[in-house]
Amino acid sequence: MTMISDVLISQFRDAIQNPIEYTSGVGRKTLQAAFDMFLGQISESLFDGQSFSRFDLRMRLNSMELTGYDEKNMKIIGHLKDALKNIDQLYDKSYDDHVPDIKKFIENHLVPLLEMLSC
Amino acid sequence: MYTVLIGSYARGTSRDKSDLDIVRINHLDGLDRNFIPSESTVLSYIDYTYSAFLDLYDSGSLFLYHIFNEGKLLAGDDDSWAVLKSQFKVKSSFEKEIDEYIAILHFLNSDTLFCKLIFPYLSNMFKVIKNISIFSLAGKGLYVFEKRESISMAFPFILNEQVDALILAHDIFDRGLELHEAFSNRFHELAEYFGDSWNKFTALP
Repeated sequence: MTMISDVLISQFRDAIQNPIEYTSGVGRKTLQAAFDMFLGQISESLFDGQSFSRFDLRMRLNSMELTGYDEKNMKIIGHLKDALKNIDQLYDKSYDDHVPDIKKFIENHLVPLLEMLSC
Repeated sequence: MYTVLIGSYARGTSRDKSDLDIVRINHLDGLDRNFIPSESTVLSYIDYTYSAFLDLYDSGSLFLYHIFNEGKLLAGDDDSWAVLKSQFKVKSSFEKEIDEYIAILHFLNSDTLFCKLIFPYLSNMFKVIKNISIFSLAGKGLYVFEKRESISMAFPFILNEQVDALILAHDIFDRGLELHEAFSNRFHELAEYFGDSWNKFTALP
């Protein structure tokens, strides 16, 4: 199921190792773009086609039949649902300090997703 | 505390599905109903703490220039707003901002498979191209914040229908606008076009 580009995996790995660099400016914008591409690839893998938006993917994940997937893929789907539920932590438009939210998103969602994708 | 209307409603160029873009400075109060055109209007808030606002003010932020020049103050003290506006000096060089967006442009095209992910790819390409356009025009003293106009001015080789489709793809992906199947092929072709020609957007106008 999970065919994720090496470029994305290495970008996420770097964000996990150097989270502060991804909490503002170009780092934050690159992480947002990378996560969008990741959602695109996940959507292709799971549904054999594109989701049109983050919300569309979330709806499709919530309504999908969870049969026929092995344990690893079930966990990936679970982590992905959680990440999409908390997606505002990554894409928040306010000009507040984004450090706590981005760090939370990386720790709570990117780390477990990457762990599952790498094993 | 200030509330400022910006974007297409402030310019008088709003379309059917335009968001009502509201800047809130130092508060999070909801917008007075009288300012909302219809029940279906989507409100898009951009929030600043006062200290974040002052940091941007002192740095001569282009976005604050946009707010002061095209924005309409909906709530807050008129006099103090006028003073802030009259004393604001926008910076003149935007190389750092442009370099950042060019770095993201490179990232978006660092894997040839990314342009096959049509909606996330086009949505992110739109944001990058729009911002490169706005910042590079501002570097020449041309302050154009309307997305279609700025992209067309900065990169005149893009056709108007390509700009429209790029914006529509972004609205579908980022704002959840409904997709009409009839347009599907158009987006596929557009993603291929940008996947092949993204390098052109690193050559600044």
